[in-house]
Amino acid sequence: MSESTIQKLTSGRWRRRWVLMGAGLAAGLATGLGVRLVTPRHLISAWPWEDQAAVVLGASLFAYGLGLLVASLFRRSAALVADPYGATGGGLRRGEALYQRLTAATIALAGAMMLVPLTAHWAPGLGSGLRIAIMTGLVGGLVLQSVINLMIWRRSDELFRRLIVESTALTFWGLQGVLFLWAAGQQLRLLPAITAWQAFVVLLAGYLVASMAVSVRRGFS
Amino acid sequence: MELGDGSAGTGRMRNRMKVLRAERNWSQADLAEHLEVSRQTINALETGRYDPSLPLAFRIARLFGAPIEAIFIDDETGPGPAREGG
Repeated sequence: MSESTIQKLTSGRWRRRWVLMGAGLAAGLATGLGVRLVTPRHLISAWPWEDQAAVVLGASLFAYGLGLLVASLFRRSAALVADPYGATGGGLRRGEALYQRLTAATIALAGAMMLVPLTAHWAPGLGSGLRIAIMTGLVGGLVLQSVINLMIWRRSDELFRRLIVESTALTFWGLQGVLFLWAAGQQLRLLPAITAWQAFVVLLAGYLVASMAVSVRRGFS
Repeated sequence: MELGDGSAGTGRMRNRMKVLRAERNWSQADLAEHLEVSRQTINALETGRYDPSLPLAFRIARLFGAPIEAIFIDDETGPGPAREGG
């Protein structure tokens, strides 16, 4: 390894990258261990693909949201989240910690809400009263998340609003085409029927991929 | 409402924001504070990954005391007086 490469990899920008990669690795490990602890592996492997994907997506979102929430509570870590490479200067700005907390809350809530319907696997004998209570809780959670999303939208500047709009448009543009083709194939009795849960899991995964692609394109990397 | 972002134009605009900011010894965070936008927006603008809306372009022009066309350069209209700023 050349001296310039070593210098580059030990520069301040890269040191921050190493720290962030380490934090990501630790969060991923913790999530994986947490999921494995709560649900035995043999049980998950017997689930259909959409439920396995929902566990991965839900647990990842919940862990990420929770991690972001904790980071936003401390000035130093909140500043690191706001300016990961120390490129913009100025420390933590007014309103940035609150924005992080709102973002963290909506991500964690999305993850938790995705995991809740899977209780059917953990407790298949749930009575209808409990199932109605869970569903009511999910409706409440969705309303709360919508309010938080609205607060985020109102606090976002034009770039962040553009990220939201582009991610949504890209997801719709891509997946409505797939959905149409699948539905047409199903009508023609060429493809099997899909459930609403399967469609939702694919939709959420698609949105996450689209939002990451849009963010990288706009310089968030 | 945007200056070339997603409109009929083929490419993104270049701008002199980084130079104008450096002339004033401002950090990206300082400029973000002045313009009431996020620091990520300033970064995206300076690196050419985002073109501002017309209202934001006017705010930038007012802040730097220069006309919009002296800050934002459309490659399709050829080299302007501020081309070196990129």
